[in-house]
Amino acid sequence: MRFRRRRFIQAGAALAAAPFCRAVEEGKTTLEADRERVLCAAAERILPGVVEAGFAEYMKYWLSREPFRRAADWRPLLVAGAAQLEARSQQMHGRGFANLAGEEQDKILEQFQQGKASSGKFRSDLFFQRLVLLALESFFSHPVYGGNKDGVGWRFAGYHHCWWSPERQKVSE
Amino acid sequence: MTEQTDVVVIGSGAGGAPVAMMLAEAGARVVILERGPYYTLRDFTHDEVAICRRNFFVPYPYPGFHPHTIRKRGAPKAHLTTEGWISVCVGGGTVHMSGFTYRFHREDFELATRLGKIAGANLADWPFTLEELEPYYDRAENLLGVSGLAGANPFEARKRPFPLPPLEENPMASLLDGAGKRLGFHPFPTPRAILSRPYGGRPPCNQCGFCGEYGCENGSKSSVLVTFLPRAEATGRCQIRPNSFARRILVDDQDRVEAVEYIDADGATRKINARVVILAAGAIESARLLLLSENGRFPHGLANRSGLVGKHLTFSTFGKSTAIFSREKITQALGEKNLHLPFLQRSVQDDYWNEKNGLALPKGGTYNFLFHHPNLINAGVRLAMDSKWTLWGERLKERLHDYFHKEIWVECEIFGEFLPVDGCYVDLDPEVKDAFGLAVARINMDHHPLSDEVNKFCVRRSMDILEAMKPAPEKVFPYTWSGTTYHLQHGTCRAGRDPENSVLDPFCQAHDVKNLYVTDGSFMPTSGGAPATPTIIANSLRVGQHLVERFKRGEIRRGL
Repeated sequence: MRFRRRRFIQAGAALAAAPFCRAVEEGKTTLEADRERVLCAAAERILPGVVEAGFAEYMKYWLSREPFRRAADWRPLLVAGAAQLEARSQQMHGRGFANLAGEEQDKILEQFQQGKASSGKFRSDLFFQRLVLLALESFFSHPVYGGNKDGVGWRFAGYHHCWWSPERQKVSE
Repeated sequence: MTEQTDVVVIGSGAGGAPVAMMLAEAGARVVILERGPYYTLRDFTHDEVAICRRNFFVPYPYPGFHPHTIRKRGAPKAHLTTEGWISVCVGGGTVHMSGFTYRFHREDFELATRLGKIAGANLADWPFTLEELEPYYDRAENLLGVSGLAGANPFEARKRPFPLPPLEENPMASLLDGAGKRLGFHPFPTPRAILSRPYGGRPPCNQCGFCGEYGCENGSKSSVLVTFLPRAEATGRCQIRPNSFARRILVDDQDRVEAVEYIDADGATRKINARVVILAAGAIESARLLLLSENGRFPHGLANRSGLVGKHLTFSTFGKSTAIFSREKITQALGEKNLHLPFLQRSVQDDYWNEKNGLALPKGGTYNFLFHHPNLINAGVRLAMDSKWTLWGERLKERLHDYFHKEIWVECEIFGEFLPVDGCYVDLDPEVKDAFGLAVARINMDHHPLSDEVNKFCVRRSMDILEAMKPAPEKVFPYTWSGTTYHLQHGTCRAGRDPENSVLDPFCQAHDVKNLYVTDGSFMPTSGGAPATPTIIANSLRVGQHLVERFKRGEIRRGL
């Protein structure tokens, strides 16, 4: 089938949602902040430099809005994926995913990418793909959404943004 | 009190705007109901996330929003999708179109006669000829300001020049000309609804390259938003109502439309009485609205005594091949000058009708050569997807760097004949509802094997052309052998002479409901071998001329 530029990944996994909150901003160490750290660590292995470019802020912006807050292939999938990454890391190394060495993280991510970490309704390959999409979006999108800080992604691509800037509100819920 | 007007047009895109403009200019009071927002040029940015990957133009594919569903042949169940949506806003699909403005060829109008019976395909000739449409192609091109080079395409019958010369092009176009010549093809400058000179108070293109999928902030891409609609509004008799969703068309006991029921911008349900209703919501949504408007007199959907509303759905077949060139080698061969320009701007129609293609179907389509879209995120997503998601980490970053700095991607997109088949139709999804609680359109999807075969033939031939370019590309590869361009949609209210075999008459008036017209791509009996937007606009002008004559004779105010 034709690949569409506007295509959404239409995953089917319906997963239990856990609140993804502003714990980090508020300085609390909660489970949610842990998950965010895991997702950031994974995204950094997928697209090096993406965390410094604002991946966390970009992700939180979109995951706090409808329909991404509840759509099965967005926040529920990412929250479940973070938990699965963490569980596998504990099981294999006795340490949290964010504290592993890069090569150790890559080994686990490769299993996820190949769908080998799926369990029940959780599809690890779809989770991995969603992370790739979010990493690429956050790196190259207009900085108004929190990623691509100081245009770092645009400089990398040699892209000159010389048109007026979007407003966040134009994306309606 | 129910509001009263002469004409209600449902949908403000390629099908609705031209006829609305003509009627308003002739003195009729026209109300256009458009379900999407009224964007202005200031709203059009290069925000890839909002525009290409969120709902700036196309609704989210989730329950409670406005999804379509699609059920492919053999699949047990339909799933949610964005397929079949075109930009939902004033101006419709013309706002985010690429603006390819090929005319249809004579074969497109008489496919059944020329091909005879093809098993599994429901072919029909069009109920009018190319000659009848030709003056309206001329008018459409003049109103839009189409740029192109008359006589450059030997397969197109054209009597008049284009209103504007071709857009300034990237020097790599000369490499395609050379390859075409060596292989016996006839490349020609792609006609575009994009201004190459100041025209009608609008500035020429600034060559930013963000045409397809984006709105043009410069007003140089000739959507109906910057052409037909401002003229319609300037009459003072045409009112465009954005965020107004027509949910039902009501008829009286004489089978005449009485009113249109719609949900306004504040969520209130309103009724508007009209002497004539013109439906132009796109082939999928127009069929859906007719099916949703069933009543005691039309239990299977309004104007559907033939049972054919929603049937004969066709898209455009889609094929694609890609060539990767070394930026260094191209620069050595051609120099730096103008190598940044976004338009490669070459098309080939040698296989539009090719009886020597060795296949059971001589009808192919259009090869459109262009540079890979300047989208950044999409480039990364495509590289990741092409690798089946195995490309990530430092390797992805290096690959992206090469893509942006060392390579030039030239692509050939093929638009071909999508034969109408029984298994391809629109109906109401029995389970999924939209945000208003109404059944959404379900796309039942099937392909004719001959369409696929011809498409593959065309993809192979396009690769021959890419490979013959000099300096030679580093790599040429097929991308899509047999795909579908879902935003090019037609056929769900086929026009014809016989009410048994068609929904509309030759002037797109419903056989069963005399004051109802359908002027989007729904009328088209067959898909044609090129994007149909200019054909839909020309036909809307043709119907407009017919309705203006009826209006001037007083027939519309007296009642059709």
